[in-house]
Amino acid sequence: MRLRRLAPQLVLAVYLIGAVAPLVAVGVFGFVNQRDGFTIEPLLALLSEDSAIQPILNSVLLTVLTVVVGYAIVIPSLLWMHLRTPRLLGAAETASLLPYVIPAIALVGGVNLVLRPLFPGFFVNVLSLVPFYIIITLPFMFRTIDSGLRSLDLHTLMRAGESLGSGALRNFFTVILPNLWSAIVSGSLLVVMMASGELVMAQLMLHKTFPTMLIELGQSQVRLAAALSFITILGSWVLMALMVVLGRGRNATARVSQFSI
Amino acid sequence: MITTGTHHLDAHSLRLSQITKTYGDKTVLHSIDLDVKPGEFVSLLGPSGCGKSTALKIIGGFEAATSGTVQIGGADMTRIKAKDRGTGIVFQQYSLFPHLTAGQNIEFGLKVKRMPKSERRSRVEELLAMVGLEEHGGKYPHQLSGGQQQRVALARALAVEPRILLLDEPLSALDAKVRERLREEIVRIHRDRGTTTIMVTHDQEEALAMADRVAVMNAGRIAQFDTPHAIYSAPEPEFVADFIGVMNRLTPEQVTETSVRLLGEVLPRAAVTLAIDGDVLIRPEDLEISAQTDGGGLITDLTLRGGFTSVNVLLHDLEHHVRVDMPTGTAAALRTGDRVRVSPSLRMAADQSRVNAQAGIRPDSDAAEDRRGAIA
Repeated sequence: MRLRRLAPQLVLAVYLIGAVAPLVAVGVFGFVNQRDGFTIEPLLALLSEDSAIQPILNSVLLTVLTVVVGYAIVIPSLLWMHLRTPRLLGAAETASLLPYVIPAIALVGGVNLVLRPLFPGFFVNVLSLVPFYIIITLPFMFRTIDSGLRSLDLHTLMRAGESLGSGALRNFFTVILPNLWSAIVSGSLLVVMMASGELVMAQLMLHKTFPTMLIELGQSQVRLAAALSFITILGSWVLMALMVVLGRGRNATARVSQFSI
Repeated sequence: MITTGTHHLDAHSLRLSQITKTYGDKTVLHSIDLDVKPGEFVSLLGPSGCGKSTALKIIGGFEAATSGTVQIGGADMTRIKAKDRGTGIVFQQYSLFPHLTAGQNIEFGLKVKRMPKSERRSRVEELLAMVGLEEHGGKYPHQLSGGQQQRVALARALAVEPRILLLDEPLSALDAKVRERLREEIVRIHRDRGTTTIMVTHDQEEALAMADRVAVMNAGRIAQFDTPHAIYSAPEPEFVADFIGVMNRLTPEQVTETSVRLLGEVLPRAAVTLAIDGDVLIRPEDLEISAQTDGGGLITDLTLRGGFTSVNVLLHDLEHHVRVDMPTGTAAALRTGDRVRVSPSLRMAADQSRVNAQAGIRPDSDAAEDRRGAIA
């Protein structure tokens, strides 16, 4: 009896030790040193250097572009398929899952062999990573938007809009898009996580992003890398919480599409 | 009060001419003609797959006809996009914009029309009042019941003052009580505003109760287009007679130019509906039963249906069953196994000739042939 009552607490304790303790340890290791005790000096020093700011900005830019361009491609094409060619949806879903089975390293290897010689200038630019990030985040964008669209009676909504004098474009922006908001938010949470944390492709394509910087720092200034990791983890939690709150919209798709991966 | 432009009555007429629709090699509509007068409430009634919904979609501009023309207010609308047709539509369900409140849903079409904000607001208030949802303007669709959602959808469609209001099975998704109430409400709103209305339904009771005229459709054709009363009492014998209500089929003893002898009674020829094969089609309530120990009929079954009771009688030839509907009070004296005599009611002959005189039609099969399709 007693054991049964204690079991939940036990599980919680194990979780705290297993998951939170390492995190706290990283934080302590990162921000405390023998000489100064708790300090954020090294971090501030790092952030005042251009060589650190650039990778961070690169990561932010890449993430934003991945989300914006990705959804700008995925939403209209999925809407089109739902309305006009629903038979293609099955094939499209299979295609959207391909990134899962193609390892990043194979993708980059192929690109380096085939595409880089053709467009050498393009791959020098850090933004050349955007198409790759869109490919690897495609499954998340596809599934969230797909389930968002499925929860709507698209034909009826489009026709209702039309009968009220609204054209296709206006219907898209004032009827369909607002109803996909929560699907977009919950999907972009995952896209943001993946795009901002992607290492392999950036590293192999020789671009400097936040994750590659973290790896570099880890080889020379271990404490600094730990401090940055700690901040990143907390930051992503805050981001996650924020998006959950944002996505808890009042519209009908909210309950359906939130985290329905 | 909103005026629906009564001085432009003609702008609210609808005419379908030879509308044909084919999907691949399947023809869904066979050269349909339909002429709807301004302010009229017309119902397209028929079994599923008869083409009634396709016809509605073609009127609304959501589908293109393969051939034929759609005219609204005398102007050819066949090639005009749905958004420019001036038709409002209420769907079966789930057509409200889920991210907008009831009030904002109604406001949507007005915003598209760029109506000034103050005017918009008062219009929304007025329409909410019209459908009895003054207090629910701020609620989202998922917070409203099915009946309330349909009221909002109706208000939204009427907000833009459409020339033609299209109702696509608007009551089918509702439960019986709500359906009845909303039915009365739609009829009341139609009476008040006089918007030309086309309603698609598979529910004959709904069509007969609500519409000014009913177009009964079958297999892509309009079998009969007439007033509910005429549809019921003088149905087109091939399809409509079987589809609408219950019909007894009896072989008459004798048919002459002017009279029909049925179950031993002589009826005026004009008072009965004759099928193609020569059978007389007669409604259960147009037959009478009299208890008679030596009568040729035998009661095989009594079914209580509320106010009236259906009596199944096996006729003396021991082959034909007829159903006779009579007031439950009168039927209380009858028992299964009783011997009875069945005869056409005298009321029937009188009633029917009056109806036909009013509608200006003769219920013989030649006239029914003429009636098929449109009546201008």
